[in-house]
Amino acid sequence: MENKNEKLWEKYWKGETTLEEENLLFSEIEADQEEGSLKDFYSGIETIRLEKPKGISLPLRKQQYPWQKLAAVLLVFLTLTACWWGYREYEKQQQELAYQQVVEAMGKIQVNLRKGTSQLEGMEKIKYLNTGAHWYENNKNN
Amino acid sequence: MKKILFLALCLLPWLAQAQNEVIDQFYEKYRQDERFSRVYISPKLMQMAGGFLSSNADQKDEDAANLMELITKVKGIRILSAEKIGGLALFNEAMGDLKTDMYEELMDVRDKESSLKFMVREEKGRIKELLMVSGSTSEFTFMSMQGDFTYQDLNMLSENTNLPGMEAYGRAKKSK
Repeated sequence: MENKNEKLWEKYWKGETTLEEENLLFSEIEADQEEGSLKDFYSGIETIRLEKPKGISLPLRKQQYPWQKLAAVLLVFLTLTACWWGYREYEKQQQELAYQQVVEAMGKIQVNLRKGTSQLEGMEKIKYLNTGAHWYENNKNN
Repeated sequence: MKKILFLALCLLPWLAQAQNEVIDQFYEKYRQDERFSRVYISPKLMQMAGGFLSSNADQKDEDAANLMELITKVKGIRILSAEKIGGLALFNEAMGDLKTDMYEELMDVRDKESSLKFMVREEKGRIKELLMVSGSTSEFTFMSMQGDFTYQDLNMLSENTNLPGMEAYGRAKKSK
């Protein structure tokens, strides 16, 4: 029996025993009246077993101050506003450039259209003159 | 007679397309030439220009309203221009390439040193394209304005010198 227990203890120290084998070993120690190192070891284990686990207290998250949250929200808001404002300015610039180009094109058309119509305006005056003499007189006066 | 009319009607879109191709070819021909400056105002750019005018002009400004109306009617503008160049030869070249029967002549001003021609392509009484070709001994301009506008719009453009921004354009032109 002792021989068998010795083998079991060897297995136990190697951590190879089953739960049943461990129960067998510990029941023998319990039944043993003699004090010894094994008895102390067993009572130590029993104490640990019977000890109720205390609640684990995790370190609490540091409470953020409200102004930090506010600052973060404000920062996001300001960034978004700056982006929107920048885009609007860019769009305005593009629109202005486009308008300048359109005006330049229209201006070219206008200047050239007026080249023709200005000559017609000169003709317009002539139609009110009755005779060549009238025209000559008019030119002389001018 | 009906057959001829039908055939002519069928060929009309093809002729218009061919005409556009001539303009494109002329535009493309000198697009790479560094002596020329090229401007293409796309419909999107016209829209942006309209947006700028409507947000900056006075609501009661009649000239701005007129220009705004014209801008909304114009779909796109292409300009090919050059300075310090023999413009008369280019003018003749452009006129030779264009199938002028597709266009109605609006104005032709010629003198010793310059030639200017305005032509319009009409559809159902409305101007679909205004073509301006001008050449002088030192300058050349080829411009095509496409859209859907009327002669009244052109008249407004010609007569109204107070259009917003035009004054600045005039000053820039004089300072050149």
